[in-house]
Amino acid sequence: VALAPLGVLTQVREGDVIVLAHQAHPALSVLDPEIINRLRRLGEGLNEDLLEQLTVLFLTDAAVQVHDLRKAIASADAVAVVGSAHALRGASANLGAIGLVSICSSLEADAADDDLSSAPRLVDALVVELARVRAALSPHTDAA
Amino acid sequence: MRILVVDDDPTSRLIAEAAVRDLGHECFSVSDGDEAWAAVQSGRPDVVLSDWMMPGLSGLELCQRIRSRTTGEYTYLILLTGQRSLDHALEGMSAGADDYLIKPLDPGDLQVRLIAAARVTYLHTQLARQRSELEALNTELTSIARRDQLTGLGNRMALQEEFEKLEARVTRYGHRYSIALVDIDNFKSFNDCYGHQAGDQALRAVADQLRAAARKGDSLYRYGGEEFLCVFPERAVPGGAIAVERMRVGVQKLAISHAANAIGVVTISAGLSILDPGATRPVNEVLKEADEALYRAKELGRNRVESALTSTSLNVATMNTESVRL
Repeated sequence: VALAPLGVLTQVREGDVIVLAHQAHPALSVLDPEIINRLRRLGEGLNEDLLEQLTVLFLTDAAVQVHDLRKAIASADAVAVVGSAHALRGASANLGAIGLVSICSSLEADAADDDLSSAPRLVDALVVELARVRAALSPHTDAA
Repeated sequence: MRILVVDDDPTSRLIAEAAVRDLGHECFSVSDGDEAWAAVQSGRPDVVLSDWMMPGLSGLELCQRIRSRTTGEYTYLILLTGQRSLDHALEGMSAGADDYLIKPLDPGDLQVRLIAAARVTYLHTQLARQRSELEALNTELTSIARRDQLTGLGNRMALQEEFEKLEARVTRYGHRYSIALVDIDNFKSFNDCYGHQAGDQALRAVADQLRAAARKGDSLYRYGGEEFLCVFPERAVPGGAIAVERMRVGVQKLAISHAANAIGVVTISAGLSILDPGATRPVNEVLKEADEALYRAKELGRNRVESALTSTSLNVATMNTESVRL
């Protein structure tokens, strides 16, 4: 078992076991508190449930992207993997979902090099991380 | 300001919209480049805040299209790009974008950039207004420079331009036209007898009369002191002659006292020259013929219309004898 900082995920190879840093250290946040606070302030300023709307949009979109990623990997379509990973990375960054951004970056970079060998594992890690993000968003919204 | 947000990712779009509205700006949004191009044309935003990578028209292409417009209004363009895609920012700025922001969008950064956008947009609006004011002024000056101040008819400069156009039409299409030179009879005596103010009034009254007798498409000019010139495009026999005869009768009917004239009122004499279709004499020659015809009208006793000898027109002198005594 290797304790991997998020940035080294690109080097993960068949047989490695990935433990995300904040799995080992639950105190590390799944969501960047600065970005979450910024979005909360923005919503309060407008008197709107901005975070809740964002959460609904994000989770709906993420489910679609994960489905598309699995399909693309199954059919060895690296270009489609790059597209979905890139889209999900952007959306994750908007919510400050640091871990998701990191996994998506790895997926995107590998697929851009036409390397899908670690893609299935990365998508599994992505699903686990997505569940954490959902849980982390729940205090901010009823929808999560 | 009116701000258009362009992003295919719904979360990015929602955040950008919220940030824009939070800063007190009006916001509308679309989800791809093609919709953005349509929205720029129909919604006329002051600022476009656009993603770089989109389905359809890309941020770069959108940028190029907006900058290649010739409609005059300025659209301030801010590109949104990823932290690791600064080369996109360079490419975009080179293609005409005004600024760029790194995703994910920080509302504080956006606020700063929109201050610059407001300043630049204001300057462009000012420039556009000044340009349209200058254009209006220019149009007005052009018109003033070609109008005789006393009578409101065209002046010699306007006539010169009309002649050039006329010549081109004749050469190119074989058009015909007629020219009449009109002169107020014994005008020097009128001025000597009634004064220059009365003279100006008479000039104005005669000019109005010529205008009333002309048809749409005819052009009237003050040619010299008491001399006028009429151009009748596409009118030859008998159109031009009839128009000039109507002018002569009209002026006489004004009944402006003129003691030096035999019939006691202001009258005009006119010389008419016609360029028949297919003929190619230069306009100066046609004008010279009209001048000779005017000279003959004066010789033959004034208050009459004479046609140039080269013109295959009806005998205007015959019309004169029929209508001269009203």
